[in-house]
Amino acid sequence: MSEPVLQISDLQIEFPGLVRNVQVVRGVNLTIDRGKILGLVGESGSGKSMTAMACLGLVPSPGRVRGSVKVDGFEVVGRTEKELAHLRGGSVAMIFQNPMRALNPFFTIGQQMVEILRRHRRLDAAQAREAVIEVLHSVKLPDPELALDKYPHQLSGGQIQRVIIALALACQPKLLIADEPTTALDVTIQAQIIALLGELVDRMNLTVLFITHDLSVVASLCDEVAVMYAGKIFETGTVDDVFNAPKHPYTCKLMDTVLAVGRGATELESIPGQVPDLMFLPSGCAFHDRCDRASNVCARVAPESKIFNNGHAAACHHISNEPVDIGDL
Amino acid sequence: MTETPTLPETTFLRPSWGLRVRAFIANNKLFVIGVAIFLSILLATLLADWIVPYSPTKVAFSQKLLPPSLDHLMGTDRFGRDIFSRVLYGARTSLLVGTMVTLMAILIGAPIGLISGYFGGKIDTALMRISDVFLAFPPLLLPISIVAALGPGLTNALIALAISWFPWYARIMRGAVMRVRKELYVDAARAMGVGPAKIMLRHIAPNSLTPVIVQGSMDFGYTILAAASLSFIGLGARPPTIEWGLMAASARTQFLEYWWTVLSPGFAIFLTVLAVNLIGDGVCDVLDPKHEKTR
Repeated sequence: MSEPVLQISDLQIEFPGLVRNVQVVRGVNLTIDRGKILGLVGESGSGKSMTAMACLGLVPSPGRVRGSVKVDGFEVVGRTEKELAHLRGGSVAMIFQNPMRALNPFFTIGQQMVEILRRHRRLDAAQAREAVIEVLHSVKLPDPELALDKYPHQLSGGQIQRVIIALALACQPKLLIADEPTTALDVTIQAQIIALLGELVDRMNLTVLFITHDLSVVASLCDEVAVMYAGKIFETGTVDDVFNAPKHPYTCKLMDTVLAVGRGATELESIPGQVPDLMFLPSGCAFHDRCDRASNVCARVAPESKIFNNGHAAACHHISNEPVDIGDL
Repeated sequence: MTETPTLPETTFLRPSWGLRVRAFIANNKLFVIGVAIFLSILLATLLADWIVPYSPTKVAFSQKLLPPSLDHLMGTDRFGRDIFSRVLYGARTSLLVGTMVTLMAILIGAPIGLISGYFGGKIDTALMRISDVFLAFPPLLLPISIVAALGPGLTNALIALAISWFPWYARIMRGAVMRVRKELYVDAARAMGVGPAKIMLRHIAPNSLTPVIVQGSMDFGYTILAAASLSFIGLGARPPTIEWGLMAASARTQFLEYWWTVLSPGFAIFLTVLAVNLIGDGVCDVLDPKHEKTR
């Protein structure tokens, strides 16, 4: 198998706090192979976005990053800004949550796209304009020539998100990070954008780290899924495996919340309790005080990740069925 | 490439120019009035050579201290010089003072604020403490002491005013930069590999300049007043330079009997400051790209 496009091993991100340091990401391992879409799901504050920022070396100061993040074999952690310059917008591109605020309001769409494009490809002004119109066509923005001279506030959220996707794809990245790209859009536009992303991924053989808290989006778009909770990956695997046979009690409960609605339940299922405060994490497993399978050991020892068939892994002491031994992976 | 159908929501309507101009005037009445007054003053100043009925320096003792009349629109001063002509020529000095001081103060202050707000930390602390030193003096005392050190004269007065004004712009710019720095598009630009210098100049600076420009247009009037005050106490412009503050100062002893000698330059100062303040109020709206309400 060829080298994975994104390989995160034992990633830890820590912010110095007033009382004690806050660990936002606590030993994350993730691998995405070429051409795959991995959905990273988790509640707010579970460290999804920080993990994404770490892939670009953009963890804001005074955050400290340890471990390893390799993009196409290139180690990101511990690099200087200069060494990271070709990575950002070159081999890794990012799409942000709120499209309305992701473009500079002072310049037109065209000016901004040309600037980014000329930064990474050697093009003269006319060629760059042509290239920009071409990528805008490929994200199905109607009338790209007209949109070029518009300011961001003159376009709608869906249109801007298309522009941003175009901007991200213009430099032909190896890895695309999408940080909740549909959260700020209304449902019909969400569906369009998801469909567009799926199509582009197929056509360009893109590798995507897709961050969301919408499980239905993961089901329709992603190949693999990783469930994150309080800075740790609780369960990873292919979408089929994880959705059909969740191993971790937290994943099971997440699936229940969605399925209950699907079965015609009138009330929303929820998981009792709250996400723990990252500054005062419970000992052992971070989920134990909300978990009904929890026993004494959960409160003392943090569970190791156990691997099942097909790369399906979960970190819990009380997994319903025992792991299948398939030798070393 | 697939053909995309044109949807109604995507056809961008562009209203005609006439409509846009009319809408602009309707939306920014005070701004347009301010611009109109300011442009008339500017025009009168530039065309002073052709407009003025008398030479502003021609002394005629037989005509001294005449009240306003059709011959002398604003009367004459104690040397018999035509005050209307002097006010028009004096506008040159005052407008120059306002422009130069505001420009210099912004050119010094804005970059300091930009660097301070962008980098933060020790650099910020150092730069802000330096500008605090200048802010610690009462507003007119600092320029007075600087001019006293440099020696009186119009150029030195300009320098002194700019020095005592730049910390305000540094402060305002810093505040705006600190707000803009956290904007998503700055992160997005960084994620796209844009370097720090370009982020500062292209993404942060243009979006932080609005409050500075608004403050600048407000201060423009105030600097004219301050320069006039400096001239009034003999530290700014000196004769034979024609300057409104100086005119008011030299006429102050005859104020009670010959009111026009003081009120005329005073009115000129008032009108200019009013025009510039109206512009300053409006600039804020006009600079906002979302302001265009044509429909």
